[in-house]
Amino acid sequence: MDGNLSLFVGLFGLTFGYWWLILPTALLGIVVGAIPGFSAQNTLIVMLPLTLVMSLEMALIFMGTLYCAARMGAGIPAILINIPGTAGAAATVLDGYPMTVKGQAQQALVLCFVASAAGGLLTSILTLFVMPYIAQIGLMLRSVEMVAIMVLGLTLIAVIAARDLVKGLLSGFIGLLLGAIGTDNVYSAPRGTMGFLELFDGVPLIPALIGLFAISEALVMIEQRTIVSRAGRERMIRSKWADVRDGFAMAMQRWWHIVWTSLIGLAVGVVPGAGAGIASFVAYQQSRLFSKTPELYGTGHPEGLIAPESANNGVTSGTLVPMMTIGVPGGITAAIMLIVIQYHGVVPGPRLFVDRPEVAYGIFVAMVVAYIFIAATVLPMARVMARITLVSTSLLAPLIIAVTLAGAFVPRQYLFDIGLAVVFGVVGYVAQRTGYHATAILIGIILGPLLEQYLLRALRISRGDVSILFSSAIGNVLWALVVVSLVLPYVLEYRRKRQARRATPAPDPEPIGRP
Amino acid sequence: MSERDTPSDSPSAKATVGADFILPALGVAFATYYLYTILDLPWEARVNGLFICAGIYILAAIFFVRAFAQLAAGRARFSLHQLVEPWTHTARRIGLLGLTVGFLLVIPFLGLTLTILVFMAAALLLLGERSWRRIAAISLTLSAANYLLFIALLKTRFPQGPVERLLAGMF
Repeated sequence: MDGNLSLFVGLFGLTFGYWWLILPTALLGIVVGAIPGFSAQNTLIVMLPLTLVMSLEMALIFMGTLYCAARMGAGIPAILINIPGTAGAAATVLDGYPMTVKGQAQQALVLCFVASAAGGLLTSILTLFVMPYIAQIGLMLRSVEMVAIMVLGLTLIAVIAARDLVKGLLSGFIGLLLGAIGTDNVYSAPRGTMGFLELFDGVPLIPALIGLFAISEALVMIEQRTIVSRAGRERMIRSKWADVRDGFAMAMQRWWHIVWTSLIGLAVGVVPGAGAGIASFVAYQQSRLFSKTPELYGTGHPEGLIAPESANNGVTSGTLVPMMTIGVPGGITAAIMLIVIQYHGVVPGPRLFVDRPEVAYGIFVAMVVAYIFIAATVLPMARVMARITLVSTSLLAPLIIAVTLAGAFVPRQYLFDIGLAVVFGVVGYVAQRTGYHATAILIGIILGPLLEQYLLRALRISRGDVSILFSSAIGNVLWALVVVSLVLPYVLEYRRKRQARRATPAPDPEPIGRP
Repeated sequence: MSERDTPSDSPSAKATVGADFILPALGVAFATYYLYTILDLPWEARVNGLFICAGIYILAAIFFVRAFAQLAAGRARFSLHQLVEPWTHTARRIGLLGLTVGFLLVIPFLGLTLTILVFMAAALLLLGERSWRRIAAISLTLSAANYLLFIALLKTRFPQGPVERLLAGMF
């Protein structure tokens, strides 16, 4: 351990020396994270030629910083204009945007930045020391457990996001079906594509995200003069630097909340394919479950904002663990990093920690340093960013549509994707107006292909016997959690009502004989 | 996403059903179409779809039975007003949606830069902006920024319009 510690300290000093690379990369990451349609992986793909000509240590620092900053940046539009920059920030809108509407945009942004930076910092440091041990979590999960995780993720989202459980589950299942569009994994037979060749690879995520959140929100926001309520507008106009301090104090008072929700993110991130979307919803649900004030969630509660942001930044280090330890990338960004690392002649796997420890641990040290720089860079910007909420919606709505429609085209460069974003915009608008939840639809679309992949693998092993899904101890615990997630809200609600009835004194019985 | 209060969410008012039939109905219709497309496929290509479609059918059945029971008991009324209220904004909303569809239709001919310019100017006019100087400044700035970011910097292959062709010829 002493040897490792001196290695970490050396790497830390070396990485700090690259401040001139980290600062502009952090700003770039925050900007690309904040624009729906852009993400860390898209930017890394665009920048791939650049990373290939850099030295390996520079490439690691560049990629690590961009990844962390983009993750943090995705929370900004979620808080300010109700549009998550990526699916990982979908849970952030639940309490972030209501805070903005109440005129607490600055506090919400600072909470987001502090929770993200602290969560990311903590999990990166933790990963450095316990990486070989937490890698075991990924190895314990097989296709059966993964199916249970997917169903649990979807159930949690339905329970959390919608006020009506049936509507929440329906949204999730419609999303799953949309995610099942495209050719199947074994025979490449097209399913549900309506004859569109562009859907053979499945429903693309970015146009779906843009439509469900950005276009639908633009259609709704024109009802108000600005995003914030009248009272909130007054408050925003009078806002001062003290609001930034206020947000910082709110975060510090809830430091333990940041710690345990970021650990949830780390644990989920280690599971290949699970990702920030699931992690943030699991953390949000757990946070609400153990809260003394669960009824405040969804109304602009600081803890409801801290939980998803700490968790989705906890994922950043977790998702790199399987890549470094067993050579299996935990997500798309990790896969791009793997390509760059392999290009430089390094083979990830258990030997890496012996042969090239500076590479194995270097990426996590880079993330630690990056989070320090990002926090220092972004915190003072919260006040300026929050002013966007005072911009008139007659300007903001067309601006959002124009920029995001262009963003819908970027990943695959099909005009079809712009049309798809418009269709999803209408679906998102109807969902928002009728009490369904666009978030549950989106998470369903994300989980659809993964669910099929793992379900099919499990059923092929069992030769079609469905009972295999209940054949593992871990899987059965997860199934039990699914049942608990569905039943517990009703039980808690019943108990709360009963306690309220007991607390309210019964009216005095009418005295007998009174006229 | 913070849900806005809908009449059916309000405990004091009589619940409203009708507009919320749209998504389950679309879900059931698409599930039926999906099942039709997988009818002749081997079980490996069908199993996931069967599982999801069964879920949609069951949940939609629960939803519709519950809604019709509420209607029959007089605890809810049928209305589609959730989708269009407040009426004062409906024309602007339909107009903005029309312009969004127009964006999609004209971009193959006008290219990204000119499409954004025209879209922004039309949308700002529609939403009540009356200063031509402001409309021109915002539209030109946004279309120029999009050109620089998407075409000049990222080399995204948007359809070429007159502006892109002119600038490609100049530089």
